[in-house]
Amino acid sequence: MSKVDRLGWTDGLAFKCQGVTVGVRTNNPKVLKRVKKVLPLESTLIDSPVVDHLFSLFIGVDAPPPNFRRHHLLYNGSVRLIRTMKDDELFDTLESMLRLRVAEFTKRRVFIHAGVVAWKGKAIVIPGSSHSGKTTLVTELIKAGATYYSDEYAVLDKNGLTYPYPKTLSIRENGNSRQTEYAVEKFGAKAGKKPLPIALVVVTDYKRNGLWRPRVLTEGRGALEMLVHVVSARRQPKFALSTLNQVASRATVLKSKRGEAKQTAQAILQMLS
Amino acid sequence: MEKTNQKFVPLARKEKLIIEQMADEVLVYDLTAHKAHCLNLTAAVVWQNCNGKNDLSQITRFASRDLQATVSEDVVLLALNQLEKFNLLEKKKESPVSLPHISRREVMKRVGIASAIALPVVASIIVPTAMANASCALVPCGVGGTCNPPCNCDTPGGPGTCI
Repeated sequence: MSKVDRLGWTDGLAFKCQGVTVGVRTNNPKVLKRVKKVLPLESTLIDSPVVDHLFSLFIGVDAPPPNFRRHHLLYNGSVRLIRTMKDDELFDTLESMLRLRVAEFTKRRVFIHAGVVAWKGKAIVIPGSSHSGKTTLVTELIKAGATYYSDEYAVLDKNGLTYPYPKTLSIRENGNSRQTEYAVEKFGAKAGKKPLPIALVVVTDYKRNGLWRPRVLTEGRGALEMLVHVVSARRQPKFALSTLNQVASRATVLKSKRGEAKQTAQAILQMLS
Repeated sequence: MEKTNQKFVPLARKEKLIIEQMADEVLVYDLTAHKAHCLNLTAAVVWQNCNGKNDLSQITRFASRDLQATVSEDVVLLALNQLEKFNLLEKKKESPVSLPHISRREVMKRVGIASAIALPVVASIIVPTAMANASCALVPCGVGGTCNPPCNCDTPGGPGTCI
């Protein structure tokens, strides 16, 4: 029995999402209500003592001596993910890690770390790692009239169609590394509901005074650029490659640095118009 | 160019590779190194003709046939250099012959810039782990917390956020 198993767990829940079963146990049953709010999209609660992945959520309690408080702890298996006094940080981490585990282990979909919007019935996918500016570009695209699909993952099926994965937009403001959550309605935008074929993949990141000069990549090079951002690439490379083949054979893949997001968004939408 | 040793008979590696054929290119995922490669048409045709029996002149002849254009031995040699560099050829311990090296610049000088076929290209990436795709700003750091690579703490030693 590992140390984490001895921390005194009193309750938990299990859910299934995209074929992956995940359990969350805790020492404080009252937090399960909040845990349910951060479950990944399309999760269904299940009644199973055995799961693929287990998270353990230890809620710190006030204890003597006076003013002493234990930290909140979050584990995935026996690996500690976070130790914090702040509730928001704890649940933000839990939410992101739950999504990541589903994205990594599902065999039904390929998750690409990307922003996605829809324009004239086709999807535009913007692969990118954290801090590449994809949420900023997604925000400008939806302000310009595109339909919001996701600012975190492009979720692809084996035929290369992309599914909505909407959540609040996580925007970094004024150079802060922490993000602020905004509903898409704040920008007058709608969230997409149905799967779409991908017409355009934009491989870009922000560079100060960067010039938007996109070049079209070959299908193979385009697939390689996307593969870097596929969450399950190492776990399921065959599925990832065959899905990216579907995408790259039908979509145009562009690569370029970009400057301000507003101008780039207009240029992108003009290309598809 | 001096005559290369005709006894070099390269063999394309197949083990621990996932191969995805595209229209004019081939994607190869190396399960041992977690690297992915994209071979353009010329590189892919040369690789496919490395059967452990064809020597350089035979590979050149078959590549010319498959590409429907005249291919020089220099171009094939350049392709083989790249395939070997990215571990896509079987390593033969007993082989007495090592592959001669030729640079892209030398090949371009010899065949000319306006060649009928594209020079062989193997583009390569390292495939990151799933955690490398995660947002950095999930974890506080400095005191009692650490950042997962490639994230770093914005205030080393003090309370901060992973960036």
